[in-house]
Amino acid sequence: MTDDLGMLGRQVRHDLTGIARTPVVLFFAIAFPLGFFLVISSFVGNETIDFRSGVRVAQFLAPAFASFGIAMATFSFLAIGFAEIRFSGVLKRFTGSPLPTWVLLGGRIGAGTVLAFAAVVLLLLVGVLFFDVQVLWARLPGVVVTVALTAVSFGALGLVVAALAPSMQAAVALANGIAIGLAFISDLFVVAELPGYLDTIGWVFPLKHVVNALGDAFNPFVDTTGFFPDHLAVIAAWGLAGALLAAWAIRRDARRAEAGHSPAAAPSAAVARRHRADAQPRRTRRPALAALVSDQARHVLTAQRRDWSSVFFGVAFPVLLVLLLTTVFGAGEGRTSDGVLLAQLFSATMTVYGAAVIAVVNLPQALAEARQNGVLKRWQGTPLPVGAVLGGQAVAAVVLSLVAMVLVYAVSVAVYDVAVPPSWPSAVVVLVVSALSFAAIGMAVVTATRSGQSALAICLGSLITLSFFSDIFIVGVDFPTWLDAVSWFFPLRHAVNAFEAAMAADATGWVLDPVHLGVIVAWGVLATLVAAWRFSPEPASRPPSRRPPSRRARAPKEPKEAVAVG
Amino acid sequence: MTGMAAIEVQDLRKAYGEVRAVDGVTFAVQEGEVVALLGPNGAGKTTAVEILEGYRRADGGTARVLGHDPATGGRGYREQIGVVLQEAGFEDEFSVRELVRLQAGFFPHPRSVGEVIAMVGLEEKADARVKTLSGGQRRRLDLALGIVGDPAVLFLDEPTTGFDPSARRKAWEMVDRLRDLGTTILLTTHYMDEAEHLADRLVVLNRGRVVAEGTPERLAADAGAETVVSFRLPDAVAIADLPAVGTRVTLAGSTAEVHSASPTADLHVLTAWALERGLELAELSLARPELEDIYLELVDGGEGATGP
Repeated sequence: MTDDLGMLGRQVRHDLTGIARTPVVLFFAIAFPLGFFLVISSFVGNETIDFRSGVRVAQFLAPAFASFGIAMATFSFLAIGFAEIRFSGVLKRFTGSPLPTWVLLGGRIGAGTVLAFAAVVLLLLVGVLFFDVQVLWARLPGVVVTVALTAVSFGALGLVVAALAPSMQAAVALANGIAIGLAFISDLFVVAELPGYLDTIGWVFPLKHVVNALGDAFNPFVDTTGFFPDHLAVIAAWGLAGALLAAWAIRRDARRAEAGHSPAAAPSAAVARRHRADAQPRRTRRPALAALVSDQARHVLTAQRRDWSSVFFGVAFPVLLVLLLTTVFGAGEGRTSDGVLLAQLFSATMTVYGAAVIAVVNLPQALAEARQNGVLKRWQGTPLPVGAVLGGQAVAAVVLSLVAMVLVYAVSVAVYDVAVPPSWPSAVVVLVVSALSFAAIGMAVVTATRSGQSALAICLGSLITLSFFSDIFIVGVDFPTWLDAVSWFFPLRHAVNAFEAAMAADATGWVLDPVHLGVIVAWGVLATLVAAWRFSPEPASRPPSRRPPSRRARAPKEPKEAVAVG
Repeated sequence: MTGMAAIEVQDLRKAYGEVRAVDGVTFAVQEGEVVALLGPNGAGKTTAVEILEGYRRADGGTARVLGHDPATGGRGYREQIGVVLQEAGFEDEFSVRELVRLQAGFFPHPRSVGEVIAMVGLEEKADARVKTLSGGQRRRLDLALGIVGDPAVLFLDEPTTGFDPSARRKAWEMVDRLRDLGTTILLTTHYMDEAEHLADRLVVLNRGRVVAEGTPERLAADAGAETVVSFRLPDAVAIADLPAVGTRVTLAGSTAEVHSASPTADLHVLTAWALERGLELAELSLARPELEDIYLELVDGGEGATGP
């Protein structure tokens, strides 16, 4: 038994080393919740609620974002990390070794728990240092027990997602979708009162119990020991159910692996027709640039369509956010202080947000990955001009942005009676120009990064940060002058405002603000120049002898990195 | 071989910092010829090939392929060549057919997609996603993407590494077929049998320099490698009793080995000597020099191996 525990300890250490070397995991588990906390606390957290005790709003925000950190560090980390080892064949190698399965799983859960505590401690430390958050020491044992139980339970639930997901991308989309989706109905992002049914649904899931247990433990106005048996019972019950389900799913997975692959289905008639065309050479002269760009764009679109997480975060997530934000703030009837229907507003901001995620995050990440694994190098050896590759990216960004727009408005018109004004062609112009500019910026960023992972971290990190100051998630807030100036420097806020103006319910004619468009175009031109000047199909020139050994190239699948968008 | 040189390399040089990866390499490949670049890891094979493919610029010397300078040849040049890199990934979410189809779209005179998939033997996997392919099948897809443009010159960088014996056989047949169609091929390989089977001529690199060049027979002669005549030494006969044959005679157990530069004459002397005495030379055999031995002699003999 002590041997097994030693093994478990080594496994935890191994997984922690893995975490420490994967910046994207640290980003989502630690920096992401911390960033949220900092941003929101900076706006509202310093307001003093009770002058005698000096309690500020941050006192209530800290435990909420700590809960979010636990979820990212355990649920998302395990769902994505375990799916990664499942689909890359690492799991198969482990199961062929004498390592007991419970040690393998325990190592992951243990590492996730350590990561969760790190996220919580860091967040509280920042809270104490900068926002006068008070730690009620007598309740600390209760907090520690709650965090530990939550970490283990969420870890088990993460394993369920990893073991049931049909692909790596599906695991990423499911994990982040569930975590972020639940956060909205678990007293986490939204402090306003929820409609009754959302409130009830929230209590069914464990996250709301965690947020409330930790929240009350930090609430100086509540008389408590810090232990909440009712909340803890729900968390533990979910954990137990998760553990049983995960064990079943992992065994089922192993049995399926023994049974082997299922045969491919027969091609459809349309596919068969295209196959017949493959019997002949495609052409006998040099392909036109337009044909090459369109082939590339189609190729990118197919790749995106087959990438669950891309579709989810670029197209489905904005629709979901419109539904959620609009429902949460006033059940679809809410209006801003200027009397604008919130649904009208959020439909516009989320369309632009979707376009930005597609063009600045998803496509650049895919491009950086193609570069990293040598696809671009292979193309470089063919007559395909680099311009066609980049042009295809830009065209795909425009197409996907328009798809996001159509979907967002289809839903918001049907559900919330949002108006599509006669000036909508202006909005299309704004969106197309913005998507092209964003795509160019994404490509320019790719030229400065080496891996898909770093491209993702840079693009997503800057996009989310900027979104908070660019009238996307938060509207009608007065920023400090300098922050206001900074946000108007970047194209995102211009794109949001130009699009919003063109899609305002009472807008008519051509609504094209030359300043907004000018800034967007200027960024696009600048980024195009940078991309044209710096773009290389190889990450950086290294002698071939120093390239990594070839076994990496034969790995079945270079796993996609986590993609989460808040 | 007659005809024009499809590939001409003169005093090619390329250094990475202090390391002179390619250090004055000169060779030529005639049109329709298949030439193998041999050498240990780090000998400069891939660097040399990647300069010819246009991926890297040489520091010095000249390289011309089909009359183009690969560094500046651009699209027009790349329309005429096919490249199979030593190591490059795929977009795993696409099927074999989709990737071959896309690649065919880059070229002015591509082969048909169906033909190419059949040539590399991936018909049964044509509509499977790349992520379901085995290592050898992925390599065959690599080959497919290299030949779909119907190139006049094909570069193959270690084309069969990771293949099982039957897949290697099939890849060789494919290369033979391409040769029959007149494709000029420059390949690098670690396998002597592959080089011997596929290549009309070998160029052996070591530490960035050409250390030998020619047909396998020519290499053997240049290396001074000798044929070995071996037989069981008859009872009551000592080495010293044998006639003066070969350059040296050694004894391995009870087997005598005569190292010979002129095996016909030496064999004649030996058998005449045995007949005269009524002796039978049991297990008499004649072994040609193995290419592998010659190769090891070339790359290890002089300065020692450069390590893996």
